[in-house]
Amino acid sequence: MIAALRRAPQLALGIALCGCAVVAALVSLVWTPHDPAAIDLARALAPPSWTHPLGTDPLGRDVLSMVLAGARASLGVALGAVLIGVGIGAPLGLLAGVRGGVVDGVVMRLNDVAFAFPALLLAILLTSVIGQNALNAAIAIGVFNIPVFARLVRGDARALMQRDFVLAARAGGMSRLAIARRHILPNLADQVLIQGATQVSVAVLAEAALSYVGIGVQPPTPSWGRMLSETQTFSFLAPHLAIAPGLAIFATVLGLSLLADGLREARDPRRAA
Amino acid sequence: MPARPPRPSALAATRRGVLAAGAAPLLAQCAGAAVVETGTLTLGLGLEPPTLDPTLGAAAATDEVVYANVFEGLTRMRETGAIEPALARAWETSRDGRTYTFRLHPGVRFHDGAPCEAADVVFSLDRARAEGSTNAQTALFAPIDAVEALDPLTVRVRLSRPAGDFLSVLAWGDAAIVSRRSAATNATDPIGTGPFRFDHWARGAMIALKRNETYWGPPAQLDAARFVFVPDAAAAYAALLAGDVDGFPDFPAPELLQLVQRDGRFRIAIGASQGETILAMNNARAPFTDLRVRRALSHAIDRTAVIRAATFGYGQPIGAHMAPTDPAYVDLTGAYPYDPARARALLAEAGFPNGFAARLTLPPTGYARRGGEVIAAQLAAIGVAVRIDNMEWAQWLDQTFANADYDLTVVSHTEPNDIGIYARDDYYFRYRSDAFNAAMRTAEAATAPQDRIAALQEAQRILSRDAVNVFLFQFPKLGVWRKDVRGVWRDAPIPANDLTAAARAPA
Amino acid sequence: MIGFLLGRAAALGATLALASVLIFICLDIAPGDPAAYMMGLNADPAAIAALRAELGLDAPPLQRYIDWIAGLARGDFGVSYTYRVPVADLLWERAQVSAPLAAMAFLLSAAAAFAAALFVVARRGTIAARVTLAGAQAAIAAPNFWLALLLALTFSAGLGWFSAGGFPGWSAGAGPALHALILPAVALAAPQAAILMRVLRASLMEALNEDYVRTARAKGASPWRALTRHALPNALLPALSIMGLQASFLIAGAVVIETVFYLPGLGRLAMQAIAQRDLIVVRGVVMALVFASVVIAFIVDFLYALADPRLRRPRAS
Repeated sequence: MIAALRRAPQLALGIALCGCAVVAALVSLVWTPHDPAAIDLARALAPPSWTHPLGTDPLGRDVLSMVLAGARASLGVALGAVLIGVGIGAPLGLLAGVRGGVVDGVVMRLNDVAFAFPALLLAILLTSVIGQNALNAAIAIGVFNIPVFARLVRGDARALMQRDFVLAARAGGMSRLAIARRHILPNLADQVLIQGATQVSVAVLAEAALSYVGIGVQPPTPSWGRMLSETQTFSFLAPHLAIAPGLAIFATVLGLSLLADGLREARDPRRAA
Repeated sequence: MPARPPRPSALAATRRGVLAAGAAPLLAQCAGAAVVETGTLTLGLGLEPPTLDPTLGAAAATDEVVYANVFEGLTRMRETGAIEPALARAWETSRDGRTYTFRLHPGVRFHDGAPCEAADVVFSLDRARAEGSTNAQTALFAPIDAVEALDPLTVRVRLSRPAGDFLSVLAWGDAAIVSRRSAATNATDPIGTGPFRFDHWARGAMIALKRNETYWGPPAQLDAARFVFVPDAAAAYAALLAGDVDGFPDFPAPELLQLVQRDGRFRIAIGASQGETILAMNNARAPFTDLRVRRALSHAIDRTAVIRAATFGYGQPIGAHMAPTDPAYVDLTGAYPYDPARARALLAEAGFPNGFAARLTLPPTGYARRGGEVIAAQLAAIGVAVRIDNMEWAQWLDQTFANADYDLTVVSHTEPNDIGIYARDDYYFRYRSDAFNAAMRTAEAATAPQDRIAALQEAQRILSRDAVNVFLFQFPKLGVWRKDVRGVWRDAPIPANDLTAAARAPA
Repeated sequence: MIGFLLGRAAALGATLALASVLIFICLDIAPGDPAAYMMGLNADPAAIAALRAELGLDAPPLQRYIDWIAGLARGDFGVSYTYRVPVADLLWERAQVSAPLAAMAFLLSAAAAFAAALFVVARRGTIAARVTLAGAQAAIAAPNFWLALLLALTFSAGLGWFSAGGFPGWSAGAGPALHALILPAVALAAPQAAILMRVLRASLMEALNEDYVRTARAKGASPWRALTRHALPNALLPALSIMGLQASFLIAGAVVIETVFYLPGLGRLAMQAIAQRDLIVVRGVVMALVFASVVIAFIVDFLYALADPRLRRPRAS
């Protein structure tokens, strides 16, 4: 493991960056330096200091505490969205890939429709139907992850169905369902994991974009995307406000994409750079 | 280092931050790409009007472009809120206050060349008050009984009851005089009588007006006016610095006014609008049915803090639903001083020693979202657990406004003289008071200004006594203009940008 | 080949039909009423009802769906509730901003990605290549509205090279119009270029390890020639499918960029129409965008089939 990491410093950096975000999210459950929701206008826009290492926001809340707590909402929405995508997309893709024929046609047509819709607009539209909160933001982003995983799993499943061990199992009278469970799923897991890491990074950015257009996680729960979009104009007055959530998003997205790259290379060393 | 409150110097120190490293130092020595084009004024607006017909719908954005510039009414509102003659050069009121005779200016022509005469006034007012009219303010024209043309330059309006605010209702954009020939197409191709005529509209980007060379009154000084739509606060700042616009009548980023001021190329004009910003309570829903609860909430809110958060300190506290610039205003801001202890005591008295839970719906405006967070925190301090529910306008209008499915909400009521909404039983506050309705009837029927003012002041006192809503502040109008821009409104008694006197002149 | 084209065209039609049903239902159950939005806080309920009737919002949903589809079939997109002009005119006006913007961003992205990919592969291991790769990672990881704002502040507010936003219209001449689209196109293209560059680089690296490229090298082809003449053609297919996805994203995905640079594009039209519940406009924009992306997917499939005869049967990946 250590040796593997040494061979792939990217992977190590990726794990470290993602680890930081996850640790921040977990720590904020039990402890933050200040209450991230505590408003104190007398202290608004304070520059970084010992009591407030990242300063305070326009409402006098501690930015460090908000960034820590924001990890929870940002990662939560992103992970939730990708889980929705995997949870619905992967079984659909598996079904399409294993059954083929009409089932495949229907699933892939639905997939085409989902791919053809303008994602951000549809997310805005969806939240105006189902309301604005963290769960609905995850759903709105998650919907667009479904076709990603459906397509990925279907393609791989189809390829696997032609492999000798599967053909042998089918000749031996094993049902398609059993084949899917025994032979196809385990072979797909790491592909889904790699794509999942990439999709989580896309979802973190999507949460920021949703916040920018005014929908997403509800206050007072902080999220990185909302912090960044709300403090946009302050970047001229108090740049530290935007730097903290901006860096948090940046580092997490970077970490996830390094993680995905690293996993991909570890799985298929031939493609290593 | 202890945390400091923001002072200009402290803010200046943080300006040289790392993130804006590419930008901030450059801003200071900004070259100014703009070529000053005298005679043309480019204004930045946040919202694009859906149509250019002020008699259709209630979009403030429509009046912000066409009021007084393209369309005129019989009367018009000055920057001070005073009512002045417009298309009507004079009028007489009968002793019982039920008959108005208007004498029109001779020689007025619509932009299509047709004369504007008494028949057009009759047509416009009849159209506004007709059955099935899509004029948003139909209710205001309800007192009109009959409109008749006595001769081409004289119009007589009979009212079914005296209406003290009738002349100011006629000054609203909704009462604009339109031509029979063009009324149906004013939405996209407005034909009015004003000093500017419609030039073109690049939808989503800007609307251009040009001077009406055959205007009946003193001609406009500007050759042309352009309204550019900038939806984003940070983009508005960039547009101002880059010289893309000459000014914002309502600058959307109050937090940046200090920086704009320091730039030296701009002038800041902080005025007042007629917008009363309120924390509305659903008076028909428990526990807000209880006067003690409503009073408790009134004591629990620190208006100064809300103003600081919502509009970064601009805006004046109010104590009832009336703007301080209104002649009928009474200062009731002292009625419910900020006093959390008293608020908790009132809640306990009402049977809520441990507070209660409530939902606060917020429309998508910066002031509501920022102010709402502070209000939620202040209410939490007296034990009221507030859940914030951010909404789009359409959702808010549907659920909170039309169906009154809400506990609390924050919104600014921008219409002038709109205290009468409290007399509407089905209005979303769900407030019912015979005393208030009686006061409003007296005000409406009053023909002498002082009687009307006295009745309106009584109405304000009733609202304050009943603590119908928590009255927060008068919405500020934050104008930012290049220094050579003259003659634009500082205050906005109605949402409008009257450019009749605007000009470009070197400082 | 004809059979392939017919099959794809049928799929295209099915996708559009399904999309029209989905978008209609989605909009119809969204709370909110365009008439209420237009009439504001002081409006008389009777006036709102009158406006609803005037806009034809009283008809039952199925009736409105059929009317809408029948109109679409005739090329009539309906009339906007709020703007009161034909939706087709609005789409045409806005497409004059969105399409050139997307095209510019697409060309920028492709040019930058190909140049950078060839550079980092040819100079692999050098500091310059590493910096380029890190830059690409950064371009992907930066939220796009932030990048856009930074560009506006630096090059417009700071240096004064560009307007901070807005669009002068094509009537002002091609020069000013294209000039106004440069910064938005850069902001839009940057992350796409980075993604495309990474895909290209991976394909190129893979191709370089293939026997035929090794053979070419062994026969004396220069490294650059081996890269451009032998590896690059084989790296094009994976890039093609990414570019297809990106092309449709660039048309539809510019909402945020259009907001920062206040450009009158299709994305902002749709966003504003959603806010105002101008449902007929939202439906029109979404259908137009779905149509564009389906057509692009069709073209990509077609190019794929041309490039690879094995793929001439639909979806035999």
